[in-house]
Amino acid sequence: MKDIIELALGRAMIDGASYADIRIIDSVTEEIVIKNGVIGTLKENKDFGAGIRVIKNGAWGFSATNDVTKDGIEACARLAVRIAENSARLAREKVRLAYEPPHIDKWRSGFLIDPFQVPTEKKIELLMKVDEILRKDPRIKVAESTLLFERERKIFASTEGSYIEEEFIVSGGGYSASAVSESDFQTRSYPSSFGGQYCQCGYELIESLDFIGNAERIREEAIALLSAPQCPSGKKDIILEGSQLALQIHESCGHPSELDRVFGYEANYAGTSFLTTEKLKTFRYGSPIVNIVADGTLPMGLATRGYDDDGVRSDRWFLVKDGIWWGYLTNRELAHKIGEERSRGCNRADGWRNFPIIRMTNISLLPGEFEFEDLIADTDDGLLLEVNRSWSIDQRRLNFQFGCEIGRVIKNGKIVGIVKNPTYQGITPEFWGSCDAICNWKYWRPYGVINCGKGEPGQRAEMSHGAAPARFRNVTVGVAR
Amino acid sequence: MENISPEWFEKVAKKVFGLLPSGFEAELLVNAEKSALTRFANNFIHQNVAQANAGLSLRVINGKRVGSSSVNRFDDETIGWAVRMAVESSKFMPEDPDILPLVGPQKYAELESYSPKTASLNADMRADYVVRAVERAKAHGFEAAGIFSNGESFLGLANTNGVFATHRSTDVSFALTITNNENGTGWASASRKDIEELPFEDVLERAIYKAELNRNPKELPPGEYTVILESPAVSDILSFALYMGFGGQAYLDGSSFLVGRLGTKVFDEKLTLVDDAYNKIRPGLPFDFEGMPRQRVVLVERGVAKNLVHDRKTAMKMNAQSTGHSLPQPNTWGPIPLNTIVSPGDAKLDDMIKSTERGLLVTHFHYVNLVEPRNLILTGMTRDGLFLVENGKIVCPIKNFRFTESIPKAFSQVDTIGSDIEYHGILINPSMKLASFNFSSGTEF
Repeated sequence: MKDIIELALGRAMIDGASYADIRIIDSVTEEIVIKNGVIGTLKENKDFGAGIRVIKNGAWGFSATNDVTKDGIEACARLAVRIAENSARLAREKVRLAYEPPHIDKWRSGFLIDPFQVPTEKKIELLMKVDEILRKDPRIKVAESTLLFERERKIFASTEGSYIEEEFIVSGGGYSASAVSESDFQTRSYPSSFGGQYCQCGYELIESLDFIGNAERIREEAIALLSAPQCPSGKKDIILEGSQLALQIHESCGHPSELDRVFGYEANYAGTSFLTTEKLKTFRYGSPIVNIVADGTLPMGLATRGYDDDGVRSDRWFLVKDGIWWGYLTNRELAHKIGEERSRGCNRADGWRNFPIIRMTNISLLPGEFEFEDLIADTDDGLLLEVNRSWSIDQRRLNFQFGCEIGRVIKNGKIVGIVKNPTYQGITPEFWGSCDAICNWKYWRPYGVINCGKGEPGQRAEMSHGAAPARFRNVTVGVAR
Repeated sequence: MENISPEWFEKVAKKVFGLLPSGFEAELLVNAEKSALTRFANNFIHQNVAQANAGLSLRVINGKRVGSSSVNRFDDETIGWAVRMAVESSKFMPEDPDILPLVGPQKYAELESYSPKTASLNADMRADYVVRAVERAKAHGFEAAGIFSNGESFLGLANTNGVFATHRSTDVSFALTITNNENGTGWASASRKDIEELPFEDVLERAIYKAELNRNPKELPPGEYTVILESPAVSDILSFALYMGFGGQAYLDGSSFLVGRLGTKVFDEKLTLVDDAYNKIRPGLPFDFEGMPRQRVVLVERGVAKNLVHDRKTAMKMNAQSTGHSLPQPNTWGPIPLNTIVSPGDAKLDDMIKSTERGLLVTHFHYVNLVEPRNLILTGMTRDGLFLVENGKIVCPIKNFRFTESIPKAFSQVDTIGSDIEYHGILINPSMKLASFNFSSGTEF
């Protein structure tokens, strides 16, 4: 590939680029979904291509192709330069990249069991066993179980002298059971919804999740929800379990901390951010126990990398410190806008086809001191909300509303029943300001998000959010009633 | 894209099918795309991209077992891997008792969806449009953000039972958000298959007009309001009814809001929805991903839910005929309507405003999501212009609201349907006035 890389970068420089980089990505995906005992999705996918990014006349150009031949790459580099020339026609200021030393390095994610070496029949056998347990009761009309494995190999090279080879493996899966009555449709999922749990690891994750041991409980809870009372409407103390709290962090802290959103780059699509730069290190984002950390080095995190797509080494830093807004997600282009000399390494692209933009790295709420049992015992009138079902937040990331699969009713320190269709709604800083208890390290897990959408053209990214159950006081619940 | 043609696709299909072991049937889908997008914000271009790719997806059937694979290279080695992988994976798959034999040869209508001029738009031409938009925004003292994109695609479907279908299409889109310095924005967008038909000036004027109106929005209490939903706002929520409700699989799964309600009145009698890939406004594919010809399907007639769309599997299970709405097989989602038209009325948007004593005018919605499937309750935010209408006039802009509302309930109270029909993805629809709509909370802007 070195000849292809030299050709791409050389052509860009000959054509007048002041900077160029290339990412060549070779990826493999295996996805198996069993729905009601038959194959729902089966994907054995190979994908290969290259994206070339250049700066000419102080403006960006980008072109990507699956034709990674000498002719294809040279044409791709020429097109990237021509596109940059047209970007420069409407530039406000010349692109200025934060300093980054050239890196020549290799980085690989860790795993114990290579999922691509695990026989397909073993994977099918697991999913079919889960399916059988879930559909033992005829009220379960839909049972769906998923396994997904990805391996990506990437070379990043730039005209500044970086040459970085990376390889990572993602494994994950989960299942859901939907119970149906004449007037209702209720779903329970394990270990979380929308495909389950995902980590940067191997098949050992699947073996650790005990799919079979949880299937009967999930089936019975889905059926129980059909006859459960509706979530009450009003104000309640709520405890969010880890996977729902992960999505809360994602939507109300992760996205508004993206510096490109703050500067309006997403104004036409995903929106902007209420966390404008004058708020840095002064704005009370949450209660004093709220500490949120961005971490591109988190073991098993889906966004963990050696380097980002700017060739910047991964970093760890506070977004919220003792409840105060403390930092942003940055790239080499925008770091200087908040007075930082180096990028935090958050520029990532969806595969070879796309231009890197600021994406969330792994973002986690640091644990507190509570034992989970003590947190329940300490709550007089509340709801424990588990596993996301619905999410929505406004374009500045203030007004949010989430729905969960199940709500457990807490009265006088005890769980006394369940409710269906639980929803809660709030305004981001008020909500995080009402956080008065967080469980300790024993209950803290990274939860994977594999479908985060942003950008035009649309890009998908994956990241993890570490969380332990936490309590929020006096929150609006039962919005849909 | 220069090398991609029906003749090229035929050669690829022959090569792939020639590698199959005996006893295997196969279905081949090739999707080639070349696209480009110029993205701007704060009155400058900050992202400008192009991409070209072609992919091959193969489904093999061996008795009652299925296997599949996909790649994006067409050399012998890669194609060989794709065939081997699909064949090997099929051996371990559970038997599907309902698997159907592949479709035989079919005839398809010719649909004009390709514009050479649109396909040939380059970065220079896209920049010309963006410069025009930004200059106009600047002249008003505003900032512009948005995209101008174009692309072309080729789709080929063939199987070992004689199906051979190809389709070529183009697309051009312009979306614009205008931001004023008084806490307000305006937005408009349009997408066409042909650059000659793109209403560039209209989008520009509408977005700027909204930004002019949307200065220093005031606060109103959330609650039930009469709403005038502009065409994009209707699409943002009614499209959920299409893919959550009108597919045969959603009905069989019990998640559709139409369960037990087919043949009954589910919307106001003013509403008629027809899925028609052969419509003149924005034609779709003339075939589905099994190779069945697309059928015109009346989904809702004068408020009554008439029909679902089907692939062959859901049709068999419901004793119906395929309507030619299959997605690539196998899939969990089932068939969905992809080219649905809501019959327009004869009212202009201004007429709806003039006839409103008190209500809200909604430009479009943001981040809409499903809350409950069986009652089709959705939530989402208003965006880029929410206006109070009193005594037939727009009075002032309002800070954005969140809605939480049942879609069948909301569209059971249609007061007026507009004449302004517009394309938005899977739906082609006019604006509408609804008698009542539930806004459940507000936000700070």
